[in-house]
Amino acid sequence: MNENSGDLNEKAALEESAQAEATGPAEGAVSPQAAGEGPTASELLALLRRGITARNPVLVRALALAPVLFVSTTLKNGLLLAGVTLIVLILMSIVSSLIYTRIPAYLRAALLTLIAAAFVTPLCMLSNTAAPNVAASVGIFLPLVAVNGIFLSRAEHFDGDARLLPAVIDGAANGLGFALAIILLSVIREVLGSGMLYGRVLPGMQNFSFSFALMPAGGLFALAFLIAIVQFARQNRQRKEQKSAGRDRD
Amino acid sequence: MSKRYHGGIWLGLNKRPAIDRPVDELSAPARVVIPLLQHRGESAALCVKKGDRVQMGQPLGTDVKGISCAAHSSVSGAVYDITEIDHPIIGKSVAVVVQNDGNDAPFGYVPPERDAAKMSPDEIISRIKRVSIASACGPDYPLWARLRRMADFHIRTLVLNAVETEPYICNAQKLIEEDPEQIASGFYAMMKATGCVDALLAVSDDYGTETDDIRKAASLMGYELRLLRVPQKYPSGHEKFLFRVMTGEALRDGISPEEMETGFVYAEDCLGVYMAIRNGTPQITKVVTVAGSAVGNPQVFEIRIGTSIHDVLERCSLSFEPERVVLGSAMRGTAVDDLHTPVIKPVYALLALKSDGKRRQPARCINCGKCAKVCPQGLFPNFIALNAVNADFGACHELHIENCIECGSCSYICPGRMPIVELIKNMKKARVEE
Amino acid sequence: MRLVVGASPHIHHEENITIMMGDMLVALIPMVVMAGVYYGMRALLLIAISMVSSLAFEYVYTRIYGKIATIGDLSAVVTGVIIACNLPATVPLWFPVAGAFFAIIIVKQLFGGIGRNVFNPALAAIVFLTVTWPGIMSVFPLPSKALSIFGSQEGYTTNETVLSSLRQGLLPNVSYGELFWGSRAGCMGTCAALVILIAALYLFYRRLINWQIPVAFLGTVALFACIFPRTPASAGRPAAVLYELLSGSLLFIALFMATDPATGPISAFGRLAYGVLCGLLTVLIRRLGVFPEGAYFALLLVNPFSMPLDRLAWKLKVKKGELLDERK
Repeated sequence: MNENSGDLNEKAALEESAQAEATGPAEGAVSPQAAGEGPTASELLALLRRGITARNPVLVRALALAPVLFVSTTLKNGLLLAGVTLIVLILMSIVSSLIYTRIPAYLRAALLTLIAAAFVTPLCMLSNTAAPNVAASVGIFLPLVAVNGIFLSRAEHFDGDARLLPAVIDGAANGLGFALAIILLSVIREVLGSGMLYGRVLPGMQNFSFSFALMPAGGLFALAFLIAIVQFARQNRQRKEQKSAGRDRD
Repeated sequence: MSKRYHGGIWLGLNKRPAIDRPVDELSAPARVVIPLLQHRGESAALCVKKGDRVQMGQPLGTDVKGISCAAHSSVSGAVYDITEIDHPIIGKSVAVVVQNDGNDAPFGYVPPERDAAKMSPDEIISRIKRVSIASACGPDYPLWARLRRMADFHIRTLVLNAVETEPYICNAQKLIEEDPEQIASGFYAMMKATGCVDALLAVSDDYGTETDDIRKAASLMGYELRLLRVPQKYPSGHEKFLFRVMTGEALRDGISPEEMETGFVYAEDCLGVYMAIRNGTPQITKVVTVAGSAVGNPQVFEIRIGTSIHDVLERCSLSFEPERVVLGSAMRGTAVDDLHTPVIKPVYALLALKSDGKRRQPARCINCGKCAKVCPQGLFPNFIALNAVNADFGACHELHIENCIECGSCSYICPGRMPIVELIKNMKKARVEE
Repeated sequence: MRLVVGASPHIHHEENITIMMGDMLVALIPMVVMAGVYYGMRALLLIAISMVSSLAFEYVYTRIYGKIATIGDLSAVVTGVIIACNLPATVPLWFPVAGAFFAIIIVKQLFGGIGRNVFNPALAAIVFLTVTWPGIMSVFPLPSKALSIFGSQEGYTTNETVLSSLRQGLLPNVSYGELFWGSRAGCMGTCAALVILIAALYLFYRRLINWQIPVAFLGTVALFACIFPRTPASAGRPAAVLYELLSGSLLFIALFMATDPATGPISAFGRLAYGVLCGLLTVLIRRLGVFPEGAYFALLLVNPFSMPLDRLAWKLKVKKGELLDERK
């Protein structure tokens, strides 16, 4: 399970706080279940790791690119959207794992979106009062979390005999993956684009501004490079695994 | 539809000085290798064994049922060995190696015919079959089979295809210049064999007055040989495009010229038919242009079938070290590296080309579209090549890769040096093997 | 003797990519000369910087990735010269380097190298520079040799160019002679209309560019200029068309950049449609868009359509039965 830790080291620090609330219940709540039923703690952890790296919704599966692109101009915006998305994803995965199979197929998408909106609206109001400037610059993408494709595409993977816990872990994993992507991109774009980070000018970069990075075109380029790095790392890993598998066989 | 077709390339012909020299006979070598299969169709059946004494013109293999014809020895001597060779043009075949005793003792296989005019069409065709004339211009079916097919389809026009648009090669031009009466006579016999009434001589634009003699000879024999001068754009010598230039109609892919009431024969066919009827000689020599940028004195030779390339090149001086030795034309021929490969019936040119001195460049497609401009079939070779590199046959099929006649115009002109024809050939082969 | 067993054909036309690019450079020399004549040494220095940095980036990239060094085919040099020709003479000296980096590394090499790039590298570089540093790219000095070679160009302000006059519906304050010879405010190498036309004729004679794209492109722009002129009515239609066609970098773009082999279609129908699309978008962006020279953006937008247009042309060809095919 250590194979994924390589490229996560520098991002681990950012995830600590977000991760704590997500993995807390997971690691502690491996309830004693009958043999053959339910996943083990290591499987859950693998699920979590996978959602962040190998199945990262933005960097690997290229979902939800529009909000990532438009919001990641500053770190503050990125953090806000990441936080809201994470919370909504976890709540949505709880709800959908409970009721997904009980709704007729033609109602699923609409009903889930409604429920998502129900979760998003109070969060929006909260953001507007707690951080009004940031919420205003995130703009319409905050309410748009409700229709974010991520949880719709995860819901069908956990229908029927899915347990609550794996669904929650998966939602958290997706949220953390999303957060990872948007935070990375925001950092790059804010530093390159305006010479600031988190609203504070970085030392030595007073007059530096590369406005291309703040434009959607530049954002797409930065995203493309990020995705390319991730793909490169994955291919490297696969090649190493194949090589070691080949050696084991000898 | 216009008589001009889109595409094709104008090549520098370089026919001098070969065209200024007479057709010479190359002396028979010490040993000849004669494959039993030198055309499309069935291989002849072996009828000699090691150690047998054979005479010049004696059949080494007899014709079998189906489309086949006999294989004759081009020298007299003893059968040295019976082997199997893999000829670059024809493929695997049983071959008879005959050691030349230098006597050239002729074998009276086919008796000469006194009066050609008294022969019936069937007699003419069966005589042609006995002398095994085949593959005048590259691997093709034996002449008798082609004539029979033309007779079955009741063709109206028989065309003497003397259009030579490829560099260095001037076989037909020399033959027409030197033996006009013989060629006219042989052509007349073939007209009789196929029962057609219209005769056409198609030549490329660079011919001079050679055509006058042959047309005069034809009129003396009692038929009119019309003349058609074709612009020397490659590939105007190809049947499909010659038909278009002739008639202004398209010869659709998959339809043979016989179905459109036209038959094509070559100058060497006519000469062979004349010799078969007048002297009874089977096809044991081949008229070959030996030329190329590495050859000092290019010339058209009459070579005994089975002579190895090595023997031929020894006779002509090589003024440069050749990079490629090509059997056939420069655009469609096959490069060989084994100089013991024998000259057989489909070989009408032997080119020794020197390298152009440039470093090998990597092959890159820059999407310039020159290949599409020169493709006579109107295809997009650049897209076909790119899909062939990705081994995507579905996409190649959409682009009509089957219609490619592999003329080589696209590869010739490609500035990025993409081996388009090679890619297409490999793709087609891979598809067939699937 | 060592014989090569290669596939047919065994002879080859002597033209290769290097020769083609060399011809392009020969055609671009007059533009460089005019830039030097009008803007002095600074222009030549900028062009030189652009060429050298393009070459350097291409060399570094091909070496890092272990590919065969392709700088011998001169395509990077051509890209460098084209980028420089489209810059105003007052840009800072690092400007062409940024453009060359974007063009060679990102647009050309990362998309697959020569021939496989979707977007014209020089074109994309100009757009990138215009969008990122609009201030620098909109200062068009009048031709004068007084530009200091190495110093900064703070003193120059945006001038009235032909395009800005057209935008306001005024008759540009430039005579026809100045238009044809290029002594007007504009980019370094794209103003001398007569020189560009002659160079394009040379390239056409050498079969490097096709006629369909420029004719369709310029024809469409001319048509719209004729029907909806941007100059006051008193000047007359021919003036409107002439000013529209000879303004900005339109001639250069239509003749040199739109006809780039790698990014344009190869079929005649495809090329005509491509030119018309470019012309349409140019007209739209020039009149309704933000940037005065809409042709750059128009061409960039239409670049990806070359492959679909070729596919369409193929389908039309097959349907029309031109291919003499037996199968239905």
